[in-house]
Amino acid sequence: MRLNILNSGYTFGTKVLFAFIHLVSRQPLPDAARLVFYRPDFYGAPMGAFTHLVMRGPSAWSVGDRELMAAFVSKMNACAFCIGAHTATAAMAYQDEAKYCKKGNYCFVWKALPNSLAISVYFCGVNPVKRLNSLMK
Amino acid sequence: MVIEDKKRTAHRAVVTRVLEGDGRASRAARRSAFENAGLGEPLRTLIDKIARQPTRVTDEDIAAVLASGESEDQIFELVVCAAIGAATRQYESALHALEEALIGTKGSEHASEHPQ
Repeated sequence: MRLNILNSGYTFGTKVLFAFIHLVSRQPLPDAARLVFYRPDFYGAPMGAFTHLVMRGPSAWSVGDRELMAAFVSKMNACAFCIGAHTATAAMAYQDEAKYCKKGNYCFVWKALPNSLAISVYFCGVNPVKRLNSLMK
Repeated sequence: MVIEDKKRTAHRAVVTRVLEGDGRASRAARRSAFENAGLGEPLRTLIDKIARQPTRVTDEDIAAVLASGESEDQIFELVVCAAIGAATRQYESALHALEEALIGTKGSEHASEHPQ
């Protein structure tokens, strides 16, 4: 991290969120997330809306397919963190699609997953579909 | 609105926001960073790396731009603009390639009904 504002220039609410994520994941928040949460009206919010539409919105491609494409693009971009995040998310999405989507049950979770929650999947390894299903059992 | 149009609209909203909306860097500087053109040193080196080889960015690149008088918020904005500019060029050339491929398959008996 080379800009100090991306270490400490956040609102109180965002700092609380970071602390919570840190508590759950026991890892410092990745730079990609720090960028998204800094002055979100400039970049994070409009980019999040676009990303959500592309990655979770209606499409002929499944969420797993799209995450796999994102992993490939990350490979082209030589971004180790992005490769890991999108690969893990693709793997989770494919498992969940295979397990649940055929039954028509909880696919909506993936499709409706807001970007901030997607970030928690990427950064904390928390899979809300699994969590939801275990809660509902 | 069909989903493809929604995606284009959402993408345009990102570009319009970073280039035309309020910011600490001037609109002209944000536009130059987006286009990776017309910038003086040391900003030119940083922005060109962001656009073309972002893994090569060094602490020294950032330090040089800070020393030249840009604030951290201005650097944040210009780096975002440079990245979105590079991504937009890739996105548009991919859409263009897709369009050409679809035109190429039209009339072919092997053309897919759902070319994706």
